[in-house]
Amino acid sequence: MKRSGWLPPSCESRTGASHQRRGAPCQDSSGLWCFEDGSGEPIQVLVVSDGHGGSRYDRSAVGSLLACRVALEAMQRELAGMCLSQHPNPQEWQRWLAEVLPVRLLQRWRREVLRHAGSHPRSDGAPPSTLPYGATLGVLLLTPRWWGCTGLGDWDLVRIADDGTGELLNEEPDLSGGGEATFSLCMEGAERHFAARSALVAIPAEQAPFRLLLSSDGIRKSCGSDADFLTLARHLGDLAAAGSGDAAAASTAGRHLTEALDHISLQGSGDDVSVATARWGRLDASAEGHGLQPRGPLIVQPGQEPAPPPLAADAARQRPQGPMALASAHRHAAAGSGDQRRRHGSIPWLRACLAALALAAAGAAGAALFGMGLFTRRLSAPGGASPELLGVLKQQVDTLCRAQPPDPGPGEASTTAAGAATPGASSGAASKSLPAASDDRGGAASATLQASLLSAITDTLNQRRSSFRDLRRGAIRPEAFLARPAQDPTGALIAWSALQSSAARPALVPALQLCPELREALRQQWQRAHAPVAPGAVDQTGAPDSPNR
Amino acid sequence: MFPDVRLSRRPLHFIYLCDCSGSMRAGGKMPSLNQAIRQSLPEMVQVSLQNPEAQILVRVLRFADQALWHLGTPTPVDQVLPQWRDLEAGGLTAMGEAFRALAAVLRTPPMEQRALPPVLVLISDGAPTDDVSEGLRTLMAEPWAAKAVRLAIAIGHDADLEVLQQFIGSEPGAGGERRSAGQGLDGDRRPGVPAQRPGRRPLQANDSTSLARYIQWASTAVLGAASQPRSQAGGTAPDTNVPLPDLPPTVLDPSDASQVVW
Repeated sequence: MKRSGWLPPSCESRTGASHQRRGAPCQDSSGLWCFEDGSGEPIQVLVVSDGHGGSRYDRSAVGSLLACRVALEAMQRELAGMCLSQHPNPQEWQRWLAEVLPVRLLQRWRREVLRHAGSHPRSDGAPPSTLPYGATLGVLLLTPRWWGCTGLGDWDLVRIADDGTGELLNEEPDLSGGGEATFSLCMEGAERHFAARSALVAIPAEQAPFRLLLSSDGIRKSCGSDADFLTLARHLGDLAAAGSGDAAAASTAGRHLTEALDHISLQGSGDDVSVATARWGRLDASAEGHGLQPRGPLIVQPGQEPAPPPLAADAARQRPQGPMALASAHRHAAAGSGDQRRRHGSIPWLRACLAALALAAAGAAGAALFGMGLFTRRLSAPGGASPELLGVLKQQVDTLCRAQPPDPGPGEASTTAAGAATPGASSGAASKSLPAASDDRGGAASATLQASLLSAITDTLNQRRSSFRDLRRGAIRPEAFLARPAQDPTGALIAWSALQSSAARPALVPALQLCPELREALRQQWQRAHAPVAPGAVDQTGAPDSPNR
Repeated sequence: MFPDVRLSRRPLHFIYLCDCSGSMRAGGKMPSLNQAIRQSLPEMVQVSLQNPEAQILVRVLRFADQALWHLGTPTPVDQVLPQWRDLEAGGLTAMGEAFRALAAVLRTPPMEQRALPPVLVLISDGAPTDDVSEGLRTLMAEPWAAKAVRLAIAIGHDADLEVLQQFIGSEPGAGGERRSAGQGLDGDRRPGVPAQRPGRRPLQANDSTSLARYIQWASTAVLGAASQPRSQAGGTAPDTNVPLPDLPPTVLDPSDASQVVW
């Protein structure tokens, strides 16, 4: 007898008809990540985010993208090392979704947003603020025994039963602040608003198949009535389900889904539209052997460049996530609009190449433009440096410097209020407490953070010791890396650091601001590559003053 | 096969509340108002064409001895001009009754749940002659009224600016201060200098040209802004739930009393 479980999920975002007409970017994002907890149980996380748009929220496309990324990474980071079955109390998870996770998400989102704002100052001199990045966030967390949701904003969640009956499970209550007012990540105290949208539903042993459809407001506002919306939700669920077969079926279903979403926006609200679909049902061979394998994160925001797997430094220290985490992104022009999407698709044969591709994956992570890098690409290159080179280098610096240290271990977590409420834990990652909310760190903790970041960057650069060595020996010229920086951003950054002090190549050496940890990590690598380095011969990157001599 | 569902553009209700009291006969105010509305209609059609995601529906409520719907059916903007009948002046100023009549149509239903915030334009040259406070309370108790873009145009200096300001809502940061007539109006500024918060104070129309200009602004620029919904973080919305465009530059210098017509 086949057992039941969560079938492969899907997500999609499309640029709204009115946005296309006005040349405005898509401010919706959606994403998903399938991974395993510490005991190997499958977990799925689906997210949808809607940037507010308009002049007050002119960076909300970035805010939306960061919201999805932060949510996926936070969930994966906090749950992958746990054993969910050791925490069977639903009330604990309900509280975690309503109170603990939101604090984590908001801390990380604000940190990422302010980092972006700091590195992309406004032309009017306004101080960095989260307001221009305002976005909503809807999150679905699916486990074998229960599923839950949380978030804030005007997203909708629909449950479609096996008989096709639809039910609107979760919607934002009407706000009096204005016709288009919605709770937002950019609001002060946004954490408080997650509780009202948080829910946890147990899955009984004989649960009949059903679907969950998480959507941005552009879909529901396109419908004449809620009955129309529920019918539409069922249709979108059908389209998503049709793609669970082979690659051809997935391609066809994906095209039909994007066409349907474009049609909805064109005939309806004109707004950006996003949908993420989860399916509970009988697990057949393809589902168990293909779709439910751990996979890297997928984030969709039309018009943007491919999103990376986990940050390079993260990838270097995380345990392997299976072939999906290493699958290279492919993108294609979406029918009719020229939008670019990206997918981290499943490529089973890559399993055998896991080890060989690990290094490439770390590099590819930097190659992809994500979040802040989307804007750095647009900068003109000073001093004649190629815009592509400058963009890639900035992105890579940002990727490495943005790497977050591991979360506190069970001992640290247990000191928090949330930790005190968690079930008794014995030892090991699989039995650690539910992730705690507190991310506050004092001076000592800050030093720990810096040390952790340095360690993470060093881990990444350690995989490129040969590049440092070959550049140092002159076996490889820096131009070899700099000519095609997108192919190997880490190599380009290493080559850049090698050329830092070379005044003869100003066009190739754009100015970059490095975080102290990256500067130190590069310095250590160059020291390692070149045995005795005189203190005065090391510049800000740690590169020897004449690497090619 | 795409399911048989009703996908629809989001309705945007644009409603004029026109003072048709006897005082509107003086100085050619009523013909000027009729002319201004008529002239604005073709441009409203253009706004509608430029924003096909919004279904702009026009209504006109007149109030004199009583409040009556002059154009009561929500009418697609391109169908208003062919059936337009001029408003006629005569009687008192039943503004409170007008607010109650407006409240009745802003309930859901008949208002659609997914409608865009309505645009309500109140035009008056005098003071209410009925219980306007009760009417305003009734109106503002309706969520759609609270969400609406509410604008007021004062025709001449006899208009009750306090009531018009109450209709718009207190200006953020005003601290409840009462404003004397002729001071702090959006029309009272140097030509070409945009107001700090356009539309958050009554617009002062002292002649037919400025009246036409403000009608045009409300029916095109504001309508266009309202047609392009933008989510706003709850609790952080600045002045209105729709960012209002700048006012057109005034032709007359309000400090020059010799040019005041009304």
